[in-house]
Parts: sequence; C-alpha cells; structure tokens
Amino acid sequence: MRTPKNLPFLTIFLITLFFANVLYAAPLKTLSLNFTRELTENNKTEHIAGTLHYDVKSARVVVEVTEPLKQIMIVKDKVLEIYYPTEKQAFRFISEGRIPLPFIESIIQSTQAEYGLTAIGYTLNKHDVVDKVLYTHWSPPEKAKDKLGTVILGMHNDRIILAEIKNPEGYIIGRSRYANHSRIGINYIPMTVISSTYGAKSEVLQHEQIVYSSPQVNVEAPNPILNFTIPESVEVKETKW
Amino acid sequence: MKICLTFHVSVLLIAGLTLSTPVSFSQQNSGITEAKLTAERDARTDVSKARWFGGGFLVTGGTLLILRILAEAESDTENLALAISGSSCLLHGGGLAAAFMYESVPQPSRLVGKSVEYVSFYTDAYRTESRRSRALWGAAGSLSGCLVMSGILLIEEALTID
Repeated sequence: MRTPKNLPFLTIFLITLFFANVLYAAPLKTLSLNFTRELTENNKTEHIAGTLHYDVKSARVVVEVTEPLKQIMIVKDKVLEIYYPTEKQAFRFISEGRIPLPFIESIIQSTQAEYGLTAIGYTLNKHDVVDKVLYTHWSPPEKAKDKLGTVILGMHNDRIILAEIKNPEGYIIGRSRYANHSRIGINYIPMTVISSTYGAKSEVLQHEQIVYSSPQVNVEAPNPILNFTIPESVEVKETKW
Repeated sequence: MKICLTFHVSVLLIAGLTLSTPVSFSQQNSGITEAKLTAERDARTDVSKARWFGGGFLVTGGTLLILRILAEAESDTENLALAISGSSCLLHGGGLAAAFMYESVPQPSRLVGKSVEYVSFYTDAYRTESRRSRALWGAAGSLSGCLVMSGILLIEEALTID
C-alpha cells in the first residue's frame, strides 16, 4: 500500500483544524472587547470608548473607559465600584440584590436560545419567514401580562438580528438590531448592537450604537485590570442601597 | 510703554476670566440639571408602579378584611373598630417606611463614561425620586384598598340593617 506524498501535510492540516476547532469550542473563561458607544439623548450625542473585561468564573466585569474621561467601573455580585484615576475619587454602591453586569448581560442574552425568553416564562405565539429571516412572536407569562408585552425576535442563520419589545398595550418600547456576528468560543456574538428606546407616543427617547472590536478570549495571561482594586490611598464614597 | 502693555494684557485676562466664569458655571449647572432630570426619569421608569400600588392595596385592604372577620367573632365592636383603624394606619405607616427603606440601584451602564459630578448628582436624585415614587404608589394603593374595603363594609352593614 502506497502512502500519499502529501500525507504529512494533510495530517498537520487536519490536526491544526482540529485544535483550532477545539480552541474555539472551549468554554469561555475570560473575554476582553474594545468598545465604542454612541448615545443620543435629548438631541445630544455622547461618544464613549474603552475596553470591557469579563471573568466568567468570578462573574466580574471591569469596564475601562478611556474617552471622554478616564474611568474604571467594577461590577461583581452586589457591589458596583467606580474609580476615577485622574481625579483620584471613587464610589462604591452596595446593593441588596445582584447588580446587572453592564454590556455583558445583553451579549449573553443575545447568545441564549430564544433570547432567554423561555427561561422567564414566555411562550411562542406565532412565527413567519420574510426574506430568509425567521420572525418569532413571544407572549409574556399570564401572571405578568399586565406588566410585560410581546417580544418579536428576528433570526437569520441561527443568529439573532432583531429584538423588538412591546408594552402590554402593544406599543414598541425598545428595539435592538444585532449585526456583524463574530464567533467567540462556541457562540456567535454580535459586534454591532443598535438599540432605540421609545416613549409612550412612540417617540425615540434614546438611541444607542455599540461597536465591539478586537475580541480576546481565554488569554493565557489575563489583563491585570481584571483584578483591579481601588488604591487604598483613595477615599471611597460608599453608599448602601 | 511697557507698563501700558502689561496693563492691557492684565485687563484682557481679567475680562476673559470674568466672561468665561459664568459660562463654566452655566455649563456645570446644565450638567447637574441634566443628571438630575435623567435620574428622576430613570427612577420613575424603574419603579414597578403595579407592584407598589398592589402591595399598598393588599396590605391595607387585607388588614381591614382580616380585622373585620375578627370583629364578627367578638361582640365589642366599638373597640374593635378602633383597633381596625389603628392597625390599618400602623400598617400603612409601615408600608410607607418600607417604601422609603427599600433601595434599587440604577443600572451601571447608565453611569459608564460619566463624570464624578454626574455620578454623584445622578445617584442622589435617583435615590430620592425612586423613594418618592415608591411611597406615592404605595400610598395610592393603600388608600384605594382602604376605600374599596370601607365601601364593601358599608354596603354589608347597610344590607344587615335592612
């Protein structure tokens, strides 16, 4: 039996492919993303840029803002800390309940099956396909129908591209569009998120565009900022909520 | 000539400072106002009106109902009527105190990229407005519960007399 000439090359190629796949399929431990956020509210647009760090195991998020000012925000469990390195000032808010992780919650939600709606009691009401986009209409749980409205999700190639939230009266209160999905770990994460929130008369209250870039997953030597603590020399204004 | 130039430069600098100060003050004030207004709007949105209204309604209405049932079992109706009103007021006060003591933290994403002053004014205004809103809706629910239950009791009494 003759061995093909290119067998060593083929073997290396297959091994590389296998390990690349294993690496991508590995569970998420740490995630770092650069972000820019444009927020338009009351005819005023503000531009924020920085880096987002997430440690999955400790459920700790560190947001390092570089523009328009220097700010480090640390969120873990029931504590929110905000530190200003230039002003050498800091806040610590201790809550009775868990504090939502900024940016990360929406990223995680976008990777969950059905946007995590079934987990909170939503049921599929109807679905239709328009231009290769699957639109699913979700009804809130019976006991929460006076507070929650329907949610419409748009899926393309098993990736969420649209989420529309209505109030119990049927008026849209929020709409998010997800684009430029990138494979991170075992999930596709939208690198562009455009969201609008609406008032009672369907007027736009807030328009936000977040663009993520340079994702770094499970880096061997995680950024030291992930373990950042406010320097002891800084006086912290602590508030218990 | 040299003195004259220094004088002119000084005058210009003073004039510049005098003119720029109100601008920076007004900018700071507008920032404070913006933080306060945004915090108040966010707090009103975040407070679950239905929950606090329902809670107030159930506490007062439920208390009145339970004490009414107890009153039926006793003969000393006058004292029990006083006990009903007293307990109801006490619980209403307790509910309002809970509304003031209970805290909800604003979403951290609203504070990303905001200045020290903004965070300070925003969190203070958010706390005040969320307390006010909770107490307002709790009180409205409590009053409604009281009115509804009183109405039911009055109708019941009128029917009994007949």
